[in-house]
Amino acid sequence: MPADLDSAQSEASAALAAAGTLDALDAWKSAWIGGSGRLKTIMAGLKDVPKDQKPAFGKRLNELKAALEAAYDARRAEVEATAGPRGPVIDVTEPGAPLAEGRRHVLSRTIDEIIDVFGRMGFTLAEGPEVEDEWHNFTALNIPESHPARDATDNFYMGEQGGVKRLLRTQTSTVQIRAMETRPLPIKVVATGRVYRPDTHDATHYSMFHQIEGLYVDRGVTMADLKTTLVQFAKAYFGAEAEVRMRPSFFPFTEPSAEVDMKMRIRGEWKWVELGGCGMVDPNVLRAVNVDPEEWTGFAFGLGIERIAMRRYGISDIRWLFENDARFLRQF
Amino acid sequence: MRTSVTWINDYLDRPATAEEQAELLTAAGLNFDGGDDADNGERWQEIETTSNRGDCLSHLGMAREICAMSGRRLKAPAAAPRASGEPASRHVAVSNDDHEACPRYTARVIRGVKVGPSPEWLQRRLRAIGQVPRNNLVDCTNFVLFELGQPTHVFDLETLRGARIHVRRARKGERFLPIGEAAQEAELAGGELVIADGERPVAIAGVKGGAVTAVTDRTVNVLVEAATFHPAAVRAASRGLRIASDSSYRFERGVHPSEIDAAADRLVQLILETAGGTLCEGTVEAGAPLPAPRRVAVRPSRVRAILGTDIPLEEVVRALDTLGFSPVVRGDAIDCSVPARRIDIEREIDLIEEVCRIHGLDRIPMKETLAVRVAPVEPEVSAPRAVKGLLVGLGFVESITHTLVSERHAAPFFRAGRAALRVGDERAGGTPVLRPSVIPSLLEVRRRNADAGLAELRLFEFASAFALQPGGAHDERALVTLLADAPADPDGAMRWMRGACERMLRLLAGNHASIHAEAVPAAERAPWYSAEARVAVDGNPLGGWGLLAPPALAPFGLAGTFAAAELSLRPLYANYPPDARAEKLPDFPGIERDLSAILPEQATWAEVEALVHGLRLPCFESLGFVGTYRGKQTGAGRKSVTMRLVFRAGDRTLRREDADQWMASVADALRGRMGAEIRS
Repeated sequence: MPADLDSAQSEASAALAAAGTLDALDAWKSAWIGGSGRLKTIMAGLKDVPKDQKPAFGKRLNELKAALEAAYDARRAEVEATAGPRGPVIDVTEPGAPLAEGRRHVLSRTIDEIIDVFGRMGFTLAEGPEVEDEWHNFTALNIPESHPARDATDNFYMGEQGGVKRLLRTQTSTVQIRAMETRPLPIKVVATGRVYRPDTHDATHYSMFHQIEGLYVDRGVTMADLKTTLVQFAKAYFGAEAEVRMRPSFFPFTEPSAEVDMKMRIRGEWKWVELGGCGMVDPNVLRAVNVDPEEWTGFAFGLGIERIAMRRYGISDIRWLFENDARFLRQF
Repeated sequence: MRTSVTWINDYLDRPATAEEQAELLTAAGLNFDGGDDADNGERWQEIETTSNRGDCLSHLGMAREICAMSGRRLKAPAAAPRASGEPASRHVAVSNDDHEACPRYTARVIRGVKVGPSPEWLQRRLRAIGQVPRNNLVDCTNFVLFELGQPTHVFDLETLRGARIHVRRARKGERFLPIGEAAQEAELAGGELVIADGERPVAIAGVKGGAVTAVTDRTVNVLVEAATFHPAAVRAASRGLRIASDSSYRFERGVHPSEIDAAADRLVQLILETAGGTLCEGTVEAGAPLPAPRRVAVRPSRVRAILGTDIPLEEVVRALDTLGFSPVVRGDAIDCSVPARRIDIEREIDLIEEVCRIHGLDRIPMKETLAVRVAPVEPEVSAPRAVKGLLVGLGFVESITHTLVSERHAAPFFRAGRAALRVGDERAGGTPVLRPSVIPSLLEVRRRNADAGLAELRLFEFASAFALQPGGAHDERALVTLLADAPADPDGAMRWMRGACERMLRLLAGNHASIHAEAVPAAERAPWYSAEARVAVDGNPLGGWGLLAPPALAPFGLAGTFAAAELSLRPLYANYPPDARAEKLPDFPGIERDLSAILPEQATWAEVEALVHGLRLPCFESLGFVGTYRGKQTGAGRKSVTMRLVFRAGDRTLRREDADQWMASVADALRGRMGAEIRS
């Protein structure tokens, strides 16, 4: 009997090797290992095998079954790899369907990304209105009555309400004041949003733009903390090779004040880009919101969102950002 | 300010190259902003000064900063002109009405000058910074302005009526012709600070001299003015008359009254050297007493607390000394006397900034790590972000448009009782209105994209809308605004927008919140909608949606079906993310049954819903809307509404007969209470 099995195996192997199509393989499968195939017949013969030979025969039979199944799978894979398609013929080079495609605005996505980086450094979000009063936009920020920043030419003023002159905020620093007026110390917040300054629109000027402002007031906050925060941000956002440069400057609401430049990658090259201003919160600003500058110190910074996005993505005209041509917005 | 590299080097013991100057000044906080060679071949560089450093608006001022940054020594020009004429007071009298606006006015008199071209060296200095030489008197004042930063003026003494100078406020209607080839006579509004003679204004104080009293080729006797004016007074006159000058720019940044004598001395000496003449004895002046010199102390401990670095005491003292503050260590503080030119130094923090500047910002150390208090992500960050993600998934493109719009675009979008909140028209050009709605902005974007050939677009924007309330207070409403090309049939269009809005509201409020939408009656409807629905979540009204009426679309050249929505999502942020509870999925299959009811046109789905829910049928799970059909079979004034009911039992598989019986009750109720005709 084992000899029968050997011959059956060689016969089956030869037939399998000869089966070159999926149809032929299907035929082989039902002829040999299918429900009513030869193997089943041989198995049925087990009952006629002498009792003492049964274990050996059974074992041999199982091996044969496993061998044929494995050979079949291997052969099928071989044939499938070379055979043509089954089912309908499809031209896969036809274009994808024009599905309705939504997209975030590049500026709002940039804001989200930046907020996330500062969020990881423990800054939370603070908000304030766009229509502001002079106290929050100027006075509390140490910008005196006669300061040129208050000129009508540099602000969008509107009518008074209850003796308070209203204007569209010119900077998100207003939110610093609102945060310090309402929140307990220490304060570690970022504020972002639209700000407005009269300007004739051209490739680099627009009378509305976005800022992100950071404020950290606590006991023992120093210029070194400010520098560390900005450097950590630059490296987290622009990459490990990013650098930060600070140049002395002047803002009424911080002292010492500095301009912030960051070295960012622009089309493969690392370049310095002026991104905003920063400094230690001026003691007058702290006093304006009843915070003792001897006990508490703080730093503040403001970065221009448009500038970051424009330099990063090679956007050469700021107006493109506000035209909202879907073809433009879908580039990012 | 445009600087000449050679001119700055006049005041340095060791000359600095153009690059060195640029680098040192930038490190000092005076930003290098480009440079080139002037017509005469001399190098000029544009150096930006911050508004607090008026004292740097001169070559000597820049040189002083270079010395402080590099250890060079300053060679300041000294002048001590000799007077040999009779007392100046015999030739002119000075009176000053306003000591606040003009803390100090000084006049000197030189007789017998000879007007002519300036010497070559002087012309070269001026040309190097782009100034055109005129004659020796004018050139000398310009030279002093750019050397010392002190504006001065020279009058032809003989043209001053009444031989007097009177510093006063202008009277309304007084006329003034400024110096300058294209200058036009201005009528003064009144209140401008002017320098007058016995009869009329002869200069706008600190801004511009008058043509009538200016020096000419025939001028022989001159009055040399050196004065200081309050920045606000100069700015007001300069803005009011729309005349800006190097003088006004300088005075707007503040000039200390005790600084002007040196400038007057220098100017007089230069005039005597270049135009000859005799200086009359004395200075005729009027003004307030000179303020006492300022003393400010700085604690080294405070330097450390602000800068976060331990700068050795000697270095702090050296930095302050370099800047001319004459520091003296007394106890735990350093006493400084502030040079008059440094009007920006009043407080300890001002001195700390000076120490920081000289020490160098690049030497402020950095920490390896930051201490962080971990804060939870606020819903103000996560909620709008989730909504934006949802809208993008629904095919909406996010737009950012200007808050200010034109009167024409704003006009159709005011709700009853609200008026336009406007900014000063002059500043805003043609767009003075803070938009009462973001819809017109999105329509403008839609039109622009239509022009570019885009057949379909869905837009959203997160922005505020503004309006004036009747009492004069204003609204600032943070909204999400949607605009979408919608299906042509109005029911479908409304359902489409409702679907988008409900997705947002569900995302924020959760599956268990009650979202109730209802029609806005025609009388209350927003004028820009032809159909409008309003929505409340758990009873709080949050806005609504509608179909834009043709008149609202017309100004944008748009036609077709456009659906818009304005929702105030902020009230929902506080509870975001909503509690989610897992519910077991059913064990047994349900039975779905459709039913079409022909109903009168005015019957609403809300009524059908209330009716079906009110039946409290056993095993009732849900009622769904399938569609509305209008056609021949329904007849005029009627519509066929198809609904789908689902029944399910928790403990068994329902049989068809069970559902038959319940569906019959639904049909009966629809027939009996809503006059429906039931199609099976």
